[in-house]
Amino acid sequence: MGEQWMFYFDPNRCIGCHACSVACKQRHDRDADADDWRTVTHLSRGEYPDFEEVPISMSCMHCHDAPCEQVCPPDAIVKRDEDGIVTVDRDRCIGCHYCAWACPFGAPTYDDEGLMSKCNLCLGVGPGGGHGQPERQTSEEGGPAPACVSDCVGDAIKAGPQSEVMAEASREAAERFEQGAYGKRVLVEPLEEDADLADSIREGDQPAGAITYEG
Amino acid sequence: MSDADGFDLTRRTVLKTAGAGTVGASLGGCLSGGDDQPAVDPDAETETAYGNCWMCHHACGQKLTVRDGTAVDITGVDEHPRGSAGPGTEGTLCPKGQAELEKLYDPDRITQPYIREDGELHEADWDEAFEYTARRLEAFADEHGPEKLLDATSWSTTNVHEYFWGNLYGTPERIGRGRHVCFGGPHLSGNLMGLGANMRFVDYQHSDYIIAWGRNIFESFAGQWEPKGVLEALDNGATLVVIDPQHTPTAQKADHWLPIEPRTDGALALAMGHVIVEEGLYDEAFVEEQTHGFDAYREAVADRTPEWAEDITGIDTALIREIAIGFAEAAPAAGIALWTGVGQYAEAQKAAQNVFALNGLVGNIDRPGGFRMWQGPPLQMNPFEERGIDLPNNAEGRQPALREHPEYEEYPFRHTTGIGHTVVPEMVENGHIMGMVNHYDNPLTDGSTQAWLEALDAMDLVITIDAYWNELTRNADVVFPEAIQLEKDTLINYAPAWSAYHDRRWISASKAVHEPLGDCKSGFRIYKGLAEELGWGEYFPWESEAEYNEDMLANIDYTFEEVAEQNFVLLEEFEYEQWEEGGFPTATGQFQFDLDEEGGYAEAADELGIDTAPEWIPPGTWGDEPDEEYPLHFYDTRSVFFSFGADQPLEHLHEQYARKHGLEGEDYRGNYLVMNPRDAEPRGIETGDTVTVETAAAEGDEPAMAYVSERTPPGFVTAEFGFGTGNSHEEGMNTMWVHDTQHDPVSSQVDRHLAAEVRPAGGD
Amino acid sequence: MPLDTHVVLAQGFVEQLWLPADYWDLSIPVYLFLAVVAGGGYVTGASACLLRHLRESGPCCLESELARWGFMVAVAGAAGAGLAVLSHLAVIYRALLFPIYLTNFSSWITIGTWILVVLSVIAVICLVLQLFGEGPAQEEGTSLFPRAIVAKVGLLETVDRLVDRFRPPMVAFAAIHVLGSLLAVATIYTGFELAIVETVPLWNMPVVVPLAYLFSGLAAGVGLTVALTAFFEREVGPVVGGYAVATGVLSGLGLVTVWYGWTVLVASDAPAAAASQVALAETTLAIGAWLVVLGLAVALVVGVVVGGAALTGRRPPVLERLAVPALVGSFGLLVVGSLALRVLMLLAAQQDPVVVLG
Ligand code: SF4
Ligand code: SF4
Ligand code: SF4
Ligand code: SF4
Repeated sequence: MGEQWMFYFDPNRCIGCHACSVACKQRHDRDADADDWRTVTHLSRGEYPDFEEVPISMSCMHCHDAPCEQVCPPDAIVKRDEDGIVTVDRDRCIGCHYCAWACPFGAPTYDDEGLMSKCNLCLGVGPGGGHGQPERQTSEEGGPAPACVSDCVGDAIKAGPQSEVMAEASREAAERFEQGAYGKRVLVEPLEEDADLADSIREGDQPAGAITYEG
Repeated sequence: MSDADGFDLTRRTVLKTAGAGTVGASLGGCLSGGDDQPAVDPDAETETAYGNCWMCHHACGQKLTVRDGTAVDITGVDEHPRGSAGPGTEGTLCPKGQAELEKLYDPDRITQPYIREDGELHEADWDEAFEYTARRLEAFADEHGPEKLLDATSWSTTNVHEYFWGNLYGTPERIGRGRHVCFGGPHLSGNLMGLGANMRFVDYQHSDYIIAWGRNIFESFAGQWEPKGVLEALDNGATLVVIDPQHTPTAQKADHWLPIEPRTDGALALAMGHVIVEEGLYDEAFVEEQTHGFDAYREAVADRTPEWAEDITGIDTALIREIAIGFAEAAPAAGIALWTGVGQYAEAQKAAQNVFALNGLVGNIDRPGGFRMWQGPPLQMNPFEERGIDLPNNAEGRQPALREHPEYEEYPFRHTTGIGHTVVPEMVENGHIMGMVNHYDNPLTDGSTQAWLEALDAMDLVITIDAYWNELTRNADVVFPEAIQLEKDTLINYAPAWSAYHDRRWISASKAVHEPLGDCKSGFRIYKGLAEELGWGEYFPWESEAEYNEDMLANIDYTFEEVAEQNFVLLEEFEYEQWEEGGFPTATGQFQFDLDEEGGYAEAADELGIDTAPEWIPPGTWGDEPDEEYPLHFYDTRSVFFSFGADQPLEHLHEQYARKHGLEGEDYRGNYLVMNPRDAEPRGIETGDTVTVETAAAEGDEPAMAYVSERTPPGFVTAEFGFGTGNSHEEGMNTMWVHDTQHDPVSSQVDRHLAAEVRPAGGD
Repeated sequence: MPLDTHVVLAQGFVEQLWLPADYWDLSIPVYLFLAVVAGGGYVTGASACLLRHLRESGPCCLESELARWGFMVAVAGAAGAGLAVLSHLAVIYRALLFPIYLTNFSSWITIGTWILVVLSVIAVICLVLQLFGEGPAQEEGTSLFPRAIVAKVGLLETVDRLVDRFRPPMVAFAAIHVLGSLLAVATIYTGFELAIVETVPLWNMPVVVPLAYLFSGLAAGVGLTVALTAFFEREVGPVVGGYAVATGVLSGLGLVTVWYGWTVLVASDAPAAAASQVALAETTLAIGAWLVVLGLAVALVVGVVVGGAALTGRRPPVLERLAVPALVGSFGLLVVGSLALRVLMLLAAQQDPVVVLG
């Protein structure tokens, strides 16, 4: 069993440019209007001038415990032993969307055929392209760098075998990871400390228009 | 990315697999299949090709994976001067740079020459098109004289157009984009004060204190080295100050965001100067030895206290003091990055002068971490000379109409520049301009759009070189389809100066990835073909742009091949404090606080009744001020997805732009009108509604979609420019449709800052 | 039906939309609802058979009616659930070939598929046995309408004969009922399908959600059977009364569970729990929330009062007159409320911070 690959994200360096989303689309020859395997979400709060907006770039994190794999009824999702990459066998997928429910990161996407596709850590190319591929090689070993990583303008995303990624993280981020932040599924640099959000939501304290409900 | 797969690009192998036939055939398949990219044999071996991104023309290195003759992937080039953070860092491509891959195969591109016959545009082959154009140009010269043809060529990848239209055709009438519509005020101030035209950039990596003055470096940059450099500086503990009315990604990462009242930068700068002088924090030796006009400056800031500025700028006195002192104390490792934010309003020249004065004051000029005087490679910009060609100058003795005719005496900017964007329609009306040649440059995006449309109609001859259909190309008499940068042998000769290498000259080049789409030709070949038809063939001995480029490299130890093979090479070092040796390129040879010695400027100032020294000119002196009827500031902006008007048609870009606003669920893919909830609510506007902008001059061409956000201050609405009527992506509103001749009278810069009202568009 | 109601939350930052709307549609709550309703119908049918056997009631008794209506509810519910879930899938044939394709037995969908399929097979068998054969041939009642249909085709006698030929012995019959009843209770899996989703606090209550789904769903299934019987028989005897009480009690249990879940949600520190709470209490979803409470509460009261009266035989004339409309009305409301619970569980679901900043 090889070492688990994982992602690292530093919101302090992310400039919200969406280069990662476009790089992913182009590497995998996906239509511009298809759902992104790598998304950039812009989270905002506050009233001008006390306004803040933070970009968050996310994809499948290839979770060590892959909740998606656990729930996939036809075993179409595979958590690979050799590198920890989570791949999809589109010849088995029934399109039940259960993986999307289980996924903590909203990573699975569904195309016009209704089949699941998501980030394969650029193990292969195209939807389902990672399935059945030989073990992931690092760039040093001659493998392709993930498109989103190699075109991240802010150098905010990293990917690789866990030990290598951990070595590049700040001590604080690594500690938080060890303590179980994000279910130990992804390494994220801390941005800031903040108060109890649940209370403020209950007090109706969010920025105007930020939560919309259409019941 | 590693080169481990070890495929070396040779032009031959690429051409072998990518002959025109192959590309044509695969594209045929692609079009019928409705897919954007040609079908590619997935098992074919891959090769590497390079490019120098021409999406915003700042030339970040591009590395392409070519399989089966088709480019299938694109990424940055490590350590590229423009596309990386410098030595030992990875190169990337911003979304625009990546989307050049989409442009390479975009089925919407113009791929055939077109000529106008019997009032209609018809497809033509190149011979017909050259012949037609040559005859029309000759007839035009006979009837009107060549001086009535406006040369509005801008983003060509060679400089051959300048010789063609100036020296050979003989028109003195030339207008460039950057200069007149983008940051004309700072451009003029920077040049006259001694900073040169590259006054936008800081020696980021060495800086301890960076002021992004009206600049959103993380979204709108001149090559990715800029945001990367700022991120490195932040990592190294530098302080980042952002001065901007709108909250931006740059403001988000700043230590201090100063949400300044629009167009009051000049007041803030004077107050900072006041503090620095008062506290004795300025660089006395530099001021003493290297500057001119300090007394006038000292006088100008004498009563410009932070208290005074607080009322005007809305920035706290204490904060102004803190920033001024922080900047001065960090100097010389402190720099100001200023571009369009203090570049696009009517009072911009003076505001920029006030800001630039701070550089002279703290003596950060050409010192590590401060304002860098970048040096480009010693290119031979005149390959004709290199070949010993006796090129005539047929424009000699001809004056631009602005300087020649009494009609334009009311424009003080005639003393500082040869033309103004907003005055062209008037010149057409007066019969002083009767035709135009256009090259990757669309005046309809840049001000007085409606007047320009009428002017286009009135012109006798309009020649365009472009890639997309829009109101300009549709109204032209000749449309030449140019190959895009990736389809050309390109040598970057457009200002290859500022970069992540603060002390090295460099040069970047690349060979065509494969033959151009359809019948497209490189700009060089278009000019050569046209020249031959006009009987100027003798002046064009080069077979290709690669050969022409070779001559441009005459003074450099590398051949075009050698540079292109590595994409870029670093050349010799250059020192800091270059003024020690050569002084400043100004009338006095010194850095000039006061522009009294600059004759043209002094005349313009005199006509306007303003000082030659730094001075506070309140907003509204020349530009619009919001009033009861038009209570909102309306300003156009740029996001990371687009620059100019030529990127907007690309689907990846407008799609991600929609996603960034969370509006991908709507069918609309135009620009968004950003407004504060406090303005939106009383007008009954919500995000996703369509709204119309109206100014005193006009109602918007088309509605735009509203994006209601706290990122913009109340009373201040913005929209991305380069959309709507006149542009290549016609969805959304053209921000300049509602513009009518407003400009900076000193520099002629288009005033893109209007008083407006926004209303729900109704219907929908 | 787009359900644009989800938020991405990061600590201190709130924005809308977590999952694209097309991940879920109305077929999901319908499926999750009908599967348990089928269970409720089945237990009613099976227990009515048992009662009839124990009490040795003759033909035409209400137990038989209850049994038939119960199995009919079970069959219809299971079929509806199956159709609903199939309509949501992309590759239906792979789902139809579930013994081959659905190999992941730690997935509640795989487990649920087997539960639902076996339950529906058993329910069909039971229903057929209650409808055809010599015994049913002598009975009367609206619930026998399928006989009329088969008779129209002219196959009634053949079918009666065949059914009697294959009628299992009592022991096997009992075994089938035991198995069927276990599966009926196993429709609690519908709750587990949601409860395993860790990042949605509204769902991630591994006891509360399954129990709430089970109680409210069984109540709806039993109540629907009671309502059908009462409606067509125009009579509420002690047996029907007993089932009405059971419906009331199940509704009550459902109400208690839902209420308990609500208190857990209110006490949670998770931002998404707070967001769900706000959504349920302060937006249009609140109407749905009150519908759930109303449906369960009214069923509790009416079931216990009217059913209790019928069961104990103490029936004042008012009740005599109102029993049928009251039961039909309240249990109809119960069905709506119980379905509304499922719909709300999707609409008000908020995912906990995708990335928590801080
Ligand atoms: S991120 Fe989502 S899709 Fe990826 S492994 Fe984790 S659960 Fe699965
Ligand atoms: S690793 Fe590859 S597939 Fe995954 S998000 Fe990045 S670019 Fe896309
Ligand atoms: S490319 Fe990098 S910096 Fe840009 S949005 Fe993606 S993660 Fe952020
Ligand atoms: S900044 Fe972007 S668009 Fe401009 S040259 Fe670089 S990659 Fe191209």
